[in-house]
Amino acid sequence: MTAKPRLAIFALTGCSGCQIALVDLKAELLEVLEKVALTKCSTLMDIKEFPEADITLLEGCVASEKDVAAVRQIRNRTGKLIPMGSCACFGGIPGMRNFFPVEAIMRRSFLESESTVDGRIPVGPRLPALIPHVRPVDQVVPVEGYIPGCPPTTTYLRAGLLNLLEGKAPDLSDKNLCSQCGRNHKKMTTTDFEFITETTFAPCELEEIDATLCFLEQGVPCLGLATRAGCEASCLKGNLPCRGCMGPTTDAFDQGAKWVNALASLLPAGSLSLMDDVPGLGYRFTLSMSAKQK
Amino acid sequence: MKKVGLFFCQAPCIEGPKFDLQYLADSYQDSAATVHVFHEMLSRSSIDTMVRLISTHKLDAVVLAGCSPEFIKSTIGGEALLEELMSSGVNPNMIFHANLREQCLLAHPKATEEVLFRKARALTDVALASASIYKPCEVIDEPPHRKVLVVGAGEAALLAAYHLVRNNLRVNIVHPFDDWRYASEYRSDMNLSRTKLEGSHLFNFRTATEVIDVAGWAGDYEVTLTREGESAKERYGAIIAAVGKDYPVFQHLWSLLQIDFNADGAPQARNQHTLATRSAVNGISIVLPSNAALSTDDQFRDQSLQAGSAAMDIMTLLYAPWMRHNVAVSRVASNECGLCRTCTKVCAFNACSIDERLKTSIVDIRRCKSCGNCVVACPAGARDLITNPTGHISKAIEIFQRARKPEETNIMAFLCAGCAYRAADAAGMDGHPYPAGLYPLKVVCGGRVDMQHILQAFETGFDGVLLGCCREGHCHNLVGHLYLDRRVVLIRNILESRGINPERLRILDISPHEGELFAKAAGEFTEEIQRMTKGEGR
Ligand code: SF4
Ligand code: SF4
Ligand code: SF4
Ligand code: SF4
Ligand code: SF4
Repeated sequence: MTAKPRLAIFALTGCSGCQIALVDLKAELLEVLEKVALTKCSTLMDIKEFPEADITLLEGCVASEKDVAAVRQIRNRTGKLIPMGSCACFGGIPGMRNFFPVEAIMRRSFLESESTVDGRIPVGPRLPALIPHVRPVDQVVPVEGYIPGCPPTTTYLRAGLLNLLEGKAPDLSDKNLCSQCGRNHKKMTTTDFEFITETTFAPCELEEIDATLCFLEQGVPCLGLATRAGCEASCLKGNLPCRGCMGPTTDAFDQGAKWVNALASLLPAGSLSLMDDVPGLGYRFTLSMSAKQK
Repeated sequence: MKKVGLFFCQAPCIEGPKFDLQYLADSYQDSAATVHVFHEMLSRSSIDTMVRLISTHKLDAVVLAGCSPEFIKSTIGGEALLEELMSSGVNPNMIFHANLREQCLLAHPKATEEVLFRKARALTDVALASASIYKPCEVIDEPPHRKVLVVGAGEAALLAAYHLVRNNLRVNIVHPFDDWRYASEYRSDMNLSRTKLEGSHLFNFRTATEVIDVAGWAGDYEVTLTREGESAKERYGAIIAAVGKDYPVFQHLWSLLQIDFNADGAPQARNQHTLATRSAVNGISIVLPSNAALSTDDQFRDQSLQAGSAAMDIMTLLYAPWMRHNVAVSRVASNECGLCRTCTKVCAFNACSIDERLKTSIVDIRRCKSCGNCVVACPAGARDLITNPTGHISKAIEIFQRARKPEETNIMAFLCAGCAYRAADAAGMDGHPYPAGLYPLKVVCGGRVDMQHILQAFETGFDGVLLGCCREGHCHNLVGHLYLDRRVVLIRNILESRGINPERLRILDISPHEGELFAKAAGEFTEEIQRMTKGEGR
């Protein structure tokens, strides 16, 4: 009998949400675990060192010197390295700090935040130094595939894992999320030089959200059209617009810019730029893969 | 691997003490391309040599490094060259240009040889890169419909029709008025021509009729006409627009036919000297309004000469046994289309629709004008333009970025083919120099400028980005400029959020002949960026 592939789960800078999503597989996780030898997973077992592994699912982004060292070490000890979750794939939520210099972030977090009294910026030899810009894993070491999502849905995570165990890369759809959303369009179906709505809204500003109509047609910025399909439109099913956690599609290289290309042709650009935080919305998950600041 | 011919033209205007074209050509000796330097590209012997090289080396693509592609397209000699290249087997979408004359050597007369060489080499590299990224386009050969639509109510419309009918072409004149509108002095002569026309079974005339839509291509246009609220589609091989400024839907008709405008909003011929009644679009000829300062006699003479010339254009075209049409359209990768319907909303020509059965957006090749607006708008990146592919724009930015010297002020300029690119040509031709740190890239339309590429340019180190496009209301593609403006509003927010001064991105509205304005704007923009970047470091 051939030995079971060794699977390691490790976290860089993230929120552990992805690892929790894995545990959320519940009974199905047992099926998966039967097929592998789990060598590390901080939500399930207590192992400090990073062991050798055939497959590593890596959560979180590269945000500190410590992460850089860890990711290099993991790369050396791993057969297939797969970033799991949007932090690892694109920089994710923590990547939004790339809008600001590190000093500004530290000042804001430790000195200027409203709840701070007598704050000080922590320093010490045991605190990992932040690198100037958050990086997705593939900007530091090569990877063999991606399982995006913040966190990836359990179904998607399970499918990705099973693919890996069969020696394949996790599936990535080439389409945008609208293919899984299935909401209707009324105005966008024909040429019109005007915008489709007069102004834009946050979902909570609508008196009633039409659960069958595309959010854009209700004036709500939705990122689904610039986002890779794969989550089965989870947020849309909860009657909320997509925030783009699955990242850009195969042939788009910048999610925010691609979104702007489309959005500016649909919703009133002037009101969007005044009322909404376009950069924040467009790059909630992908800023650090987009701005390759040196 | 495609085989490429790299043909340099050493036309007298390029030769000069400062620039050694042979040296540039020699720098490509190690490349896979078949390199040849011609003394004068548009001469008979050069064309013969090119045709021979194409057949002996079995070339798939040709790069013409010399004068501007717009110059080549709009001159009789250039048109002949392109026709010969195509008939010797090069696909129309595989002919590329490095504009060394207008946009490099003539534009920077004071630049050092090092600067000129670097820029000329970059422009040539960009054209060469096309050969590996572009794909051949489909060509359709069809016999043309021998029927002409003439729009207009004046003497020119009538005379053009008269010539065409006498040459056995079927003609339909339409206009939105109740009656003819020619100057009364010539009424008897005009009435006579009209009587003759009306006696012919080839002629048809409809008043109170308007053109509301045009689809198709030279030899096979589908025109929608309305009369008293009823509309009907008809097929024509060609169209002559002979309408004055008093025409009620002048602007609209001009847009439908994709006619160019000059800075004053007057329509423009393809070449005002030699192709004075041809528009930029094959199969559409125009009779321009006469100069109002002329006497009535001279105006009449001008109109009748133009009518004759327009009729001649069309006859030459429609009497060919078959016509070739290049299917240059946007393409959809159906495995990537998620049916978001952005394209169906933004295409100004109603060329996009959703195939519910195949679950993909599809393109009507008879309507698509290859403007690229949907390609930019498609948030999935599922669309691309055969004549101006996304991959090549990215590649060009990369090549220019490597060519630039970081210590200089560098501007990445996206110039729309219809207006700004030609304005840059005019700057070179008319002796209005501008800084060599401006790297020009032709894009089919302002609506083709993808915000991803603007970010790419800034992120790879360009100091400024110039978006050159038409003047308001002159967009060939109706909405290219409009959507560019809308996108730029949002991309400025994004630049600002990244600490890039949004003033480093500029839109320049310009008409094709405004060379002086182009040079002035490029110079001022460069200076302003220098001031900005000095102040804030980036
Ligand atoms: S991707 Fe989302 S869930 Fe996963 S670690 Fe990052 S923030 Fe948490
Ligand atoms: S844009 Fe959003 S709401 Fe509209 S169809 Fe796409 S995913 Fe659904
Ligand atoms: S709908 Fe959008 S934000 Fe929500 S899970 Fe799917 S991709 Fe992520
Ligand atoms: S937007 Fe332009 S390129 Fe796209 S389908 Fe319409 S005409 Fe063609
Ligand atoms: S914009 Fe793109 S993804 Fe959306 S329907 Fe059109 S081709 Fe499909």
